[in-house]
Amino acid sequence: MTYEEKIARNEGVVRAFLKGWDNRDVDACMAQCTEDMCYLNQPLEAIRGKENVRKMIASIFKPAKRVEFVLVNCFGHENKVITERVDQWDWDGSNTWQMQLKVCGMFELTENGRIIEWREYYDNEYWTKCGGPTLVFDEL
Amino acid sequence: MTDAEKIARNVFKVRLFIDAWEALDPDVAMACLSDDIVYINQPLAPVVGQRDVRKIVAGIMQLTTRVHWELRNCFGRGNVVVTERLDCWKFHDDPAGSDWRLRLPCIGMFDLNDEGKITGWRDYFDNRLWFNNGGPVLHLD
Repeated sequence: MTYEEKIARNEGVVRAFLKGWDNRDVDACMAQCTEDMCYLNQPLEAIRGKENVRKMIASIFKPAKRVEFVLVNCFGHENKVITERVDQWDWDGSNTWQMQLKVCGMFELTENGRIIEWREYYDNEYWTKCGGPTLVFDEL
Repeated sequence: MTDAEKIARNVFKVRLFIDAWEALDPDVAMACLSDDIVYINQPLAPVVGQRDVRKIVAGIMQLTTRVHWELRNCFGRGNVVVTERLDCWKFHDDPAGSDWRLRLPCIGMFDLNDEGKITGWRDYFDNRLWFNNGGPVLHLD
């Protein structure tokens, strides 16, 4: 695999992971991740291990009626992929977006193209204010 | 200029901009930005144009004793550069000899024009972490 092919593959994996969010399909998300993955919502506590991350993601999906992640930028470099996004959430089923979260996510991938680390940067108060559920593992 | 050369030039410009922050030099920082610069601290309102962005930048620098933007990642594609950073701050009202007042995890996205000036700067971070630890105001009102 050339360097360019690896970058394209990594970007494809990250896009598939994000598509899993649009479909609220936790299996599709987790299929892109390693067993020892780390999910970090800055500046909250990191969530480690596939089962714990699955639990967190499933709990975020639970109250959501509709989700659409709009990709503003998505590009890779070495084993990293950066995504700049507007994550749109409909919590009450009114067919409007009650949250349009501006966020950057940095992904790190393994040699075989699985997500091993995911670091999200955004304003936590905005998330909470717009109806986002808890992102603290101990509160699940 | 090849694509790779353009990306290298853009990354260099963004690094220069970060160096200007560490030197607390608003003139050098502002020279990296275009006249129509759009600066957004998500989710706050955009600050547009050299004059208004300078007010914010110079205002923050004035209240800062020392700043170090530790670069965790910095790379580009097309006319965009990403910086993943840990911004370490000491502000004027911090006790002498104290450690960093604030360590802010942050991602900054930069758009550059054909002349290699920064036209868009979007920082993503937790605002409460910034404001609760001495971070100065980030909007003009």
